[in-house]
Amino acid sequence: MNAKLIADVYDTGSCPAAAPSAGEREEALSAEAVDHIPAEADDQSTLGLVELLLKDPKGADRLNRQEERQGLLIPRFLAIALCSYVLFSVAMIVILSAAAPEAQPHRFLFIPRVQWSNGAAFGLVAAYNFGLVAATCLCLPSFYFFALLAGVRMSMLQVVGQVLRCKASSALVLVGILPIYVAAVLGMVVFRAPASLQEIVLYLGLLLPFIAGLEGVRSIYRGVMGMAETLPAERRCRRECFLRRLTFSWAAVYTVVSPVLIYRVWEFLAGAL
Amino acid sequence: MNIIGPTVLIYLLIGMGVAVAFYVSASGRTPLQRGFGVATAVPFWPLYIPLLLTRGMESQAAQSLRTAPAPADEMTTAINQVDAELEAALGSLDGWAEDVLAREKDRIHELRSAWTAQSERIRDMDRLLALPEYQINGGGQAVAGAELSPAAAERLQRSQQVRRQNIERLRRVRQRAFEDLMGTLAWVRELVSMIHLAKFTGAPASRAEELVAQIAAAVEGLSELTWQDESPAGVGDST
Repeated sequence: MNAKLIADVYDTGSCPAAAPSAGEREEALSAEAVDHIPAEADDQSTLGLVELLLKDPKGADRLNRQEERQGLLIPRFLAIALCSYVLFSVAMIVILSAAAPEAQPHRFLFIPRVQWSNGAAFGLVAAYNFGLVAATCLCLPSFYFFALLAGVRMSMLQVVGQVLRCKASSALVLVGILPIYVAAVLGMVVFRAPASLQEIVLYLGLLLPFIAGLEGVRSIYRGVMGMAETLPAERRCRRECFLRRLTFSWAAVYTVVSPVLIYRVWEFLAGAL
Repeated sequence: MNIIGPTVLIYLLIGMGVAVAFYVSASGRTPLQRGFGVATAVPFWPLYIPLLLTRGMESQAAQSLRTAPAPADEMTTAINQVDAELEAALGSLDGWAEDVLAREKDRIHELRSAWTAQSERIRDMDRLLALPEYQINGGGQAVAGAELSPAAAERLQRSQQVRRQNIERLRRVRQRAFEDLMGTLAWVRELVSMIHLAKFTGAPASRAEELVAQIAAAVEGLSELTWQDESPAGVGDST
């Protein structure tokens, strides 16, 4: 279960950060103790898992490291992500249908005109739900090889578990920021803000899953670091930069693939339906 | 040449294959979980393939574990005894707490596997700690004999000290795992006796449900003990 470093046998250099002072160690321990207040969440149900992700992310990480539980956790993380993306898509359909025609996003990138009656609305739901998750599927082999290159020997199942846990976390953040965004945009529509401003805010709305995805990047980094926790501090420290690069590479590949996939699927469905 | 159509077709065909495999292998799940899994396996099959392959390997491992009987020691005796008492108590409920029994069937079944896995883990640690090189004072002379500079000698000494610390921690982990297992077994026996008492004193069905749910929850107690409880010391830690 523990991550192992392939090259740690060959690493002999010293690492000053590996030996924290007594004060630093005490501070870290007390901070950890505060972070580790166990949340009373039922991890046996999907709603319990949502609660755990919100109240005790470290507990969720610990749970996610248990490989024998992946069979239950992976579909639940997927369900959380898909439900959140459906909520987001429906909210975006409402906003895009309510916006004036001149405020529709068209300046930087043509976006299909969304109305409840046309296929673009269904296309938006399908594109975001399929695109955001299918992009993960496309990136899985890259994630696996990046992990190997970074020296963290993770199984494919662990990679899937980590990625879906991050997806569920970022989807929850998306649901969290969605009401604020919807309120702000509807306010702009009602009070007739300039069309150019509305257009920019609508573009921003379509990018919201990627902004929320920053939380996913954070949780991936935490998860990957957690998997390397069993390593002696010295070796972990030497590999820390690689773990950061690993997280960055995962995020970069995903950020490149998913918008293209979402846009293409949306464009295709809007034209076909 | 349009390659999107054939690609999507192949993608969906593979997805359907994975969905069928998931349906066949998901016998222990609720219809909702199974339905969701099958529906999402078609478009997102790459996420399910590692799950299905790992489960296949796990069942092979479980099969080999089942065929190899556990050695008759203190832990096996205690597990068998508690398991027999639990079976008898649950069998004697006669529909008294049927709902909760149906709901918790999987977790109660999982309890026995968790006990066996925990005892196997403890035996593994015992076997490791019994090796001569894992005795506290053993294995320390592996590099001795060569001429070493003071810096190298100091580093060697530090490594040996950290090694001793890690072995000592491993002993503590073993002890805690053993106490945890015995504690869970004792707790389940206590609950079993409470079930009998509740039944013969005319307690409401809700009491039996509560007790069965507590037994099922005992499986969580065992899985709480993870590697995080004792992280290994590194050379840096010893400074």
